[in-house]
Amino acid sequence: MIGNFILSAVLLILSGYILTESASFPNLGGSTFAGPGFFPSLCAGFFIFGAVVILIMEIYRIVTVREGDKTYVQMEMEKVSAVWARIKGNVVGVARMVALPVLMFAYGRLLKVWGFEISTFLFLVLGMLVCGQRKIKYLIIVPLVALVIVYLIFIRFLHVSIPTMFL
Amino acid sequence: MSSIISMFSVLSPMTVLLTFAGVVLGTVVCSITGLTATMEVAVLTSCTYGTEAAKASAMLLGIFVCGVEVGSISAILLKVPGTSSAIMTTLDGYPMAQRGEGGTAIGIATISSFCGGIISCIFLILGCAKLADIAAKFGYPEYFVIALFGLCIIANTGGSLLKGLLGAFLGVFSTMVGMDTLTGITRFTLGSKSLIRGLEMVPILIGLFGVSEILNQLFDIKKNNIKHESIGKVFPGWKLLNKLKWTILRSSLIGTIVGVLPGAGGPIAAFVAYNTEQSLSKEPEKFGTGIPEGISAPESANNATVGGALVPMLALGVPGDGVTAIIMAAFAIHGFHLGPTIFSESPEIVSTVYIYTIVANIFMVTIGLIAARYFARLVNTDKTILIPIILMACVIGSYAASNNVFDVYVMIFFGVLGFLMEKVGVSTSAFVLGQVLGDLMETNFRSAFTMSQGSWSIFFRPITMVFWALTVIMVVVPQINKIVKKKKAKATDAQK
Repeated sequence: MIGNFILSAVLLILSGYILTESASFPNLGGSTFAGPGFFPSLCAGFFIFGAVVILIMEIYRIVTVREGDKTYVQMEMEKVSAVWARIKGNVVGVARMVALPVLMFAYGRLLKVWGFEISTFLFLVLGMLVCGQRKIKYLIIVPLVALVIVYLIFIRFLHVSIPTMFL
Repeated sequence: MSSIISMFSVLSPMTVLLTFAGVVLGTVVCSITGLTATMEVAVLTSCTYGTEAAKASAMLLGIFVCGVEVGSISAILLKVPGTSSAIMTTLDGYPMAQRGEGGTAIGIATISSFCGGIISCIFLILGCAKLADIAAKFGYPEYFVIALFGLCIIANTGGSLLKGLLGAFLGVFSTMVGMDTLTGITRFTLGSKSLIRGLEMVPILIGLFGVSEILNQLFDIKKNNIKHESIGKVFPGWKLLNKLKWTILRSSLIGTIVGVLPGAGGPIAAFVAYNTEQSLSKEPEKFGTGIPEGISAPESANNATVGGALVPMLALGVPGDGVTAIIMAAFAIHGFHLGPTIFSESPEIVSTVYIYTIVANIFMVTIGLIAARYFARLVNTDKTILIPIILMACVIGSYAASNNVFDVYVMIFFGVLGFLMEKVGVSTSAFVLGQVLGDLMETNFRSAFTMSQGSWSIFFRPITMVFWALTVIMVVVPQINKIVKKKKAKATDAQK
């Protein structure tokens, strides 16, 4: 229920943005019938339709659905409580889910600054630590082997210009 | 018959060896997420300057054939499709791998791909000229309706048709970010210079499927670190293959026809084939739980598009997809200009393309079945080691797409978005197909609408009516069947 309400809200906000932007596009000569804002506006119209239908369906369920003594809202709130309890019971897992994308962002950012060798090695070591790997031999050997393989395939063979520092 | 026999005269040991080399390279490199057949073919084209056209094209065809098939390996083992053609394979391939049947899943994918490739080659050798005639009649309205048909099909494979369509149109919208193809105006860039060139597909693909699945696994990494006792056999067995024969044949036909249409490639063929098999199945609810048909259908279809994509390349001089565009460039380098006259002026080129596509398929199935057991062992690797390596490959793959760090940020954004989309029931597969088809849809729609001076009747020409009818049959009819089944089930429960 909450997911559907959030989805509808996001779709309505997105549609508003699309329609506002599309209205500002110039309609150049020769494309009067379908200018640059036409197709985005069609998509926005569909998003509004979808959001309204989802809202109507959720309101219908809130009004009509019952299971014994429990209303639809009560059943959905129980589900939310269960999910929240799972999240609270596994804070480490949630931290992992946040930490790794942050590490990936930093890895991407530092590729050009520190070069592929150092940033890849650090990313893999930190990534394995975040995932729970504690054996020193894996923390050293795996990044080194991965570095060599990536260097050989991407840089030497495919000539992908990944910024390097030493190699 | 004599022309078919004379085709085999282009076979030579050296060229066969180069095809083998192409297949091996294609298997090794394209199985890594982020590295595509298009990239590898583009890089190797520069290496073919010193060779003859036949040898160059044979090697590139080896990579092309393998590059489409091998995307299924990571799709099955890691739920990360190596190419957009392998998206549908994740739906049943990954659950099978989780049950310890990863080897069998790869075996089914490989053999289905081989059958699809060979069947499309046979059809094309026998009917290439006729197929090119049909494709030449397609105009802007036809391409728009085909793209819409493809979107509706994929939207219908999930639980909710509305959410599937919303996912698809979100994908279509994502193609509108950046410079408008027809007018050059920048749209929805939020003032960012990096968004002027639009959103690249590879980082989106990696993010939506790879990163979002990893985020799911990270929540409880110990629970997900289950060791499977055995990979299971690779060769699926003749009994299972016999059971899959009609699936393979139907899907190969679908793939061949779809592949003929320029721009409509593996993803559409795979989606249509999957949905067709699901519609025809007596147990459609089993699709998505890890059944052989769910792997066989998309894999037969997407490899059948390889042969199909070669038709517009040879007969019309129009590339069927990115890889055929590069293969065309390789021919141009050697002085061969593809188009309608190629059949009369240089028939040996046509023969070379078909024969070496068949040879490449034979090598592909052999290497695929031998190497499947080694690839399947990836599933048993400790997740605390495998996950960071996969994410590293995702970052490097996204960066390599266009040597731009911004693509890494796009990948991360879509990874998080994909994770959230799955939680609210919006299909990421539909999003990706929308992304693949969005530009085709918009460009053809606007061109057709402008051509007709604002008249909607242009979208109801004879060929478009066929696709409108197919859309209704394949989308509306299953929905009606669902409602009828629910009512019957309720009536049965009431009687009890």
